[in-house]
Amino acid sequence: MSKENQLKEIHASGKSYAIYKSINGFDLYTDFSKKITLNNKNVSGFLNKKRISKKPKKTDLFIGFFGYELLNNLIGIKVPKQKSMNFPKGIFYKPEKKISYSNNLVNYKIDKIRLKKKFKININRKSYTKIFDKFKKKIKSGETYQIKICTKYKLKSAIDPLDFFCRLSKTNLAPEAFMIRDKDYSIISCSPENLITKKGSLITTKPIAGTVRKNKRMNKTKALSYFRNNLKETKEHNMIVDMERSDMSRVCKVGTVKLSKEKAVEEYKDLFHYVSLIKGKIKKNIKNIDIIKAMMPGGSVIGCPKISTLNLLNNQEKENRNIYTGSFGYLKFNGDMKFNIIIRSILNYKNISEISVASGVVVDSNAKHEFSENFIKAKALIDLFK
Amino acid sequence: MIYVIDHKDSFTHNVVHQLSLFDEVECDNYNNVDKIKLNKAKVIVFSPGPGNPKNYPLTSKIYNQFKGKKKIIGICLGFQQILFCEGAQIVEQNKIYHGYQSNIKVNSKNSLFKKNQIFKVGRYHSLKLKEPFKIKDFEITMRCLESKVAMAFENNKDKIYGFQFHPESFLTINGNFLIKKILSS
Repeated sequence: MSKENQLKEIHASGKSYAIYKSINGFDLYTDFSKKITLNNKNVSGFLNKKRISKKPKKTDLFIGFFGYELLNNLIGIKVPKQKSMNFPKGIFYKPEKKISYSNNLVNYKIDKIRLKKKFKININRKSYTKIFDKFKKKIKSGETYQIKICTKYKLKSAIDPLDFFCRLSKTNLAPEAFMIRDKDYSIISCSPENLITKKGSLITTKPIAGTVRKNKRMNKTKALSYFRNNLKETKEHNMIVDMERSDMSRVCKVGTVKLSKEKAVEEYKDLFHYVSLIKGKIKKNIKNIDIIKAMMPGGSVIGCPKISTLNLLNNQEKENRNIYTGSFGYLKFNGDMKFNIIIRSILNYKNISEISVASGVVVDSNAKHEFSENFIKAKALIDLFK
Repeated sequence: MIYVIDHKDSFTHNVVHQLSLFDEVECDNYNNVDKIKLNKAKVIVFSPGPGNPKNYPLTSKIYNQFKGKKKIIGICLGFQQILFCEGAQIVEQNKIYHGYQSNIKVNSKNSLFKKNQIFKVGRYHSLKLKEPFKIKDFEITMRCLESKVAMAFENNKDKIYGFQFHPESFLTINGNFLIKKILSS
C-alpha cells in the first residue's frame, strides 16, 4: 500500500495518530501502545522516568503536548480558577509505528459543509482596550516590560482534522506544524516556532518576534530593512533574545550560551519572520525536567519578565488557555527532545473549535492595531472553516 | 564567592553567567535567601527585576546590613534599590527604555573608568533616579548621552556600585570589561 493510502486508511479507521513536521516533510506516528494523560501530580514522574530500550527503534519516544496551565504549575505559578471545558492538561502517546512523508503529505479532500455560524470572540474591542490600557500602566510602573494579551475565538462545529491540516499545510507550510487526532479531540497547528531542540548535550532555541506580510513590494531584503528600521519590533525582539539567553543559561555551561543567528529574516509562504537562534551546551547533571522548567512556557509568546508577566496574565484571564502557549513535541528515550510553542492552532474538543491568538503590548504599541493584528493571526485558521 | 539575589527576573541568569567568568557564583530568590551563603559571599549582587524598589524590603534589609562590610553591586532594579535605600527617589520616566541600545558616557574623573569614554549598552527600565541627587560618597559616574539619565554610580569608599543598564545584555558591547573592572576594584 502506498504511504498516502496508508494515511487515508489510518484516518478512516478512527485510530489515533499524530503528525509532526520534519525537516524534509512530515512524520506520522500511530499505533499508540500507551496514552498518558498528564496532571499536576503525575507530570514530574512522567518526565523523570528513565526509559531504556534494548534494541533502539525509531519509535522510542513519547509524543504529545503540555498545556499552558500544567507548565505554570511546574514552575510554581498558580492559575486562579477559570472558566474551563475540562480539556486534559497534557497528553503523551507512545507510538509503535512511524511513517515518514515528503512535503506532499496526502491528497485528501472531503465535501465541504458550509457553516453558517460565525466564530465568537471572548473579548470585544472595548474590553480589549481596557485590558490594554491597564497593562500599559503596568509597563510604565515597571511590573512588566512586554505582555501578550490573548483573545479566543470559538465555534460549535465538527471538523475533519486531516482535511484541515492538509489545506493548512498547503497555504502555510510552517516548520513546527503538527496535528493530533484522537477520539474526542483534535489539534491542527501551523506553529512556526521551535522552543527546544536538544540533541545529546547541545540545545537550541529559535525565538520569533516580528512578523511582516509578504506582497509584491516586500521581498526578503526589504523585510530585513523594515525590521531593522522599526524600533518597536527591534526592541521587542531584543527583549526576547535576552530572556531566552537567560532561560538557557539556567541549564547550560557557563560561556556556552551563544547567539548564533542574530535578528535574521526567514521567509515563509505568506510572511517574513524576524528570528534569532541561540545555542548552548547542557551542564552536567541537568535533567530534561530542569530544561523544561527553565524554558517553558516559551517566553516569546508570554512577555517579559516571565514570572511577573505570567502572574499579570493569569489574574486577568477568565478562560483557560488549554493548549495555547503550551508546547507540543517529543521526548526520546535517549534524552533528546524537540518541542515547539503551540500558537496558530485549532483545538477541537467535544465538537467545539477554539482558536487563541495574542499580540504584544509594549510601551509604544496601540490597542486598535494590536486588536486587529490578533484578528489577522486568527484569520488564516478561521478561513479553513469556509 | 559572589551571591546574586534574584528578583525573579528573566535576565538574572545572564548576570550569573557573566559573573561566573570571574568567580564562583551562587543565586537565590530574594524571598529565599540563604544566610550562610550571604555571610560567606565576598560580593553581593542585586539582580534586575520588575517593579519598584519599595516592593523589595527584604533586599533593602540585606543592603543595610552589609553596606560597608562587603562589596555590593546593583543592576537595573538593583541599581535603583541601592539608591532607594540611600534615600533617593525612584520615579517613572516619560520615555521608556525596554530593549533599547544607548550610548552612555563616563562623566566623572573619580570613576574607575576613563572620563569621556563612551559605551554602547542595553537598557530595560521603566523607572529612573530622580535628580538632583546628593548623597555622601555616592557619585553618578555615567549618563545617557542623549537623555542625560543616570546610568551608573560608584561609591569607591564603601565599594558599592550600580548600573542602570544591563552589562550582561547582548546589546552591551564590552559588558565583560565593565563587570571585571568593578569586581577587581
